[in-house]
Amino acid sequence: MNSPTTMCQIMGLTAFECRKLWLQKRFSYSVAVLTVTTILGLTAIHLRLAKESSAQTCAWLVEIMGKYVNGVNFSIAILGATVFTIMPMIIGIFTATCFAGEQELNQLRTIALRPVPRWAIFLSKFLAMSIFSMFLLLATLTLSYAVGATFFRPSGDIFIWDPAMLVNKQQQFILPESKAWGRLFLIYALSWFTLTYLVALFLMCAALFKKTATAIILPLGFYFSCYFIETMPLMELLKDFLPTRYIFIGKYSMADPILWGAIAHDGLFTLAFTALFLAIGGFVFNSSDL
Amino acid sequence: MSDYAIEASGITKRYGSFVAVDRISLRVPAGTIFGFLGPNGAGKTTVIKILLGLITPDAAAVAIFGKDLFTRRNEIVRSVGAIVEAPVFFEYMTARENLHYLTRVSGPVTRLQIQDTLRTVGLEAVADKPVRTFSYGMKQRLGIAQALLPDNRLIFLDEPTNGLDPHGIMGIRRLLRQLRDERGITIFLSSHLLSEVEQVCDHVNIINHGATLREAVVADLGKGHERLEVQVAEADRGKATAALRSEGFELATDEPLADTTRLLLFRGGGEHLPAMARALVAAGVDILRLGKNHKTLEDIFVELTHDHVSDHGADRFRV
Repeated sequence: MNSPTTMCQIMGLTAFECRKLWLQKRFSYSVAVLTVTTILGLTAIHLRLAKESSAQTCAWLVEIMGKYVNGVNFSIAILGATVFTIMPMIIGIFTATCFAGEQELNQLRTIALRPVPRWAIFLSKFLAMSIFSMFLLLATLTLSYAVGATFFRPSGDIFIWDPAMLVNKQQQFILPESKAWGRLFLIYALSWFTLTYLVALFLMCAALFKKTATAIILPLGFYFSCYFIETMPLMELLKDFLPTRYIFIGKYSMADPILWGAIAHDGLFTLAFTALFLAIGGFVFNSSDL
Repeated sequence: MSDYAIEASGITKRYGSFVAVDRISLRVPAGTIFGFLGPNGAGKTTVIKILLGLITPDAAAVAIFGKDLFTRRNEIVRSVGAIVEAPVFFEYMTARENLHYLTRVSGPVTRLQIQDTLRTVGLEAVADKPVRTFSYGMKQRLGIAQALLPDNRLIFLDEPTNGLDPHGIMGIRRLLRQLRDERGITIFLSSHLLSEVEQVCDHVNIINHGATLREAVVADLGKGHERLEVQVAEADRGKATAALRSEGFELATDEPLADTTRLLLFRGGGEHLPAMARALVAAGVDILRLGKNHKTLEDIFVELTHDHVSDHGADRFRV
């Protein structure tokens, strides 16, 4: 009998994981949440536009919103609203349940009874959740752009509004349409690294804690604490010491010019941490009793 | 090629100061049904998990089909299937999908193979229904199907008739015999049900508190535990006992029966029955019944495990 190579086994298991995510309707639930966020975002912008237009107190804002809100701009705004909060939550819960949940239900043992190395099982879960993360980003991009293009305009110059909180450089500028599309795709692509870092973190915690609730609450609580401390006024001095400082690499694509050096620097740290989390999680799972 | 599917010695597993498995050795002949018998908590599942490489023992030497488990685990598991504790599947998937995804990491498995295996376990008609709609018995059978694929030669079944109704139990037993006889599959069957082991197994290893108490061919297990029974009236009890003792028979038990008669059990095989009859007649005892006492595996099991039971206080229903 021909034995499948470990690479074939990983591909087979990754397909299995994706199929499980699909059958558990995790793709559709995620799209539902992202749709709600997009609609809320759209409603919020319309309300603000209506308010500012009728009050006539802030004419420059009305002008900017009238001129520069389009599908590209709207999609970037929705990504900003979801990639730091909703997506980590979705990914955290689904990653923990697909590993610790299956371990609690002994489903992981059913797979481990097969002639496949444990690290391959662990890696296939990482790959499947990374594919799922990519799906989340593509769904957000498609959905938010479609809504933005429909209710505002399909394309145009975009206004980058005070990314100081993110880039640490006080700047507001108008990015021409020719560059805007590239920035849109770049921020989405870089956000995928952020999400894969989180997948690895949650998988490691699932392997360490083995209980679904613990594997969700501890890393998610830690992540949100770091995120809020990093973004809250007067708490910024701790920012450089937080473990999340490197993961939002997409923010550098919103500077002008793009901060490629910072992207490379933070990207390397993010990849190194991702690899470290996978190594720790894989090692723990490999030596665990099932 | 070894004649034994499993050869293991010195299997030991400790959890802190608690010794879950204490130097157990096993030799499972290929192509047989091997019963691994013990009360709940005896350490059966722990041994199975060790033999499958799911947990790491503190000490053990294990060879499966002549290959060392700890250096060639994945190679060995290519021809080994198992149900450990309970059959667990992905409930939102159909039986066919579960088998497809789970078995394809072991090697190429054709649709026909899956179909044939589903037919073997009697699940062909429900192959495309989600597992969540299955009864426990159907899941057990799906577990066996999963353990058989792709073309496994050794399967471990941990309490496979747990939770089944009598029809389900008979169906599983029939299936196990069929797998051994028609496909030459070695079955390692763990159970606390003595009747199950007695009816389907060729060999048995009885364990309690993590240690082997007895390993034997099931047919030979009764040897050394044979009894001859004499039923007499209460009034004849003393006469009968004295007469048989004087002939060298050793009294094992003396039980009063509900109808004011006594059942006396003496050690010895059926060949001593004529001598026993002569001695009783000579002593003027009215014999109500005389014959071989058919000791079941259950009796032997209770006899073997009785002295080792340490949790009487916690388990009031123990014999």
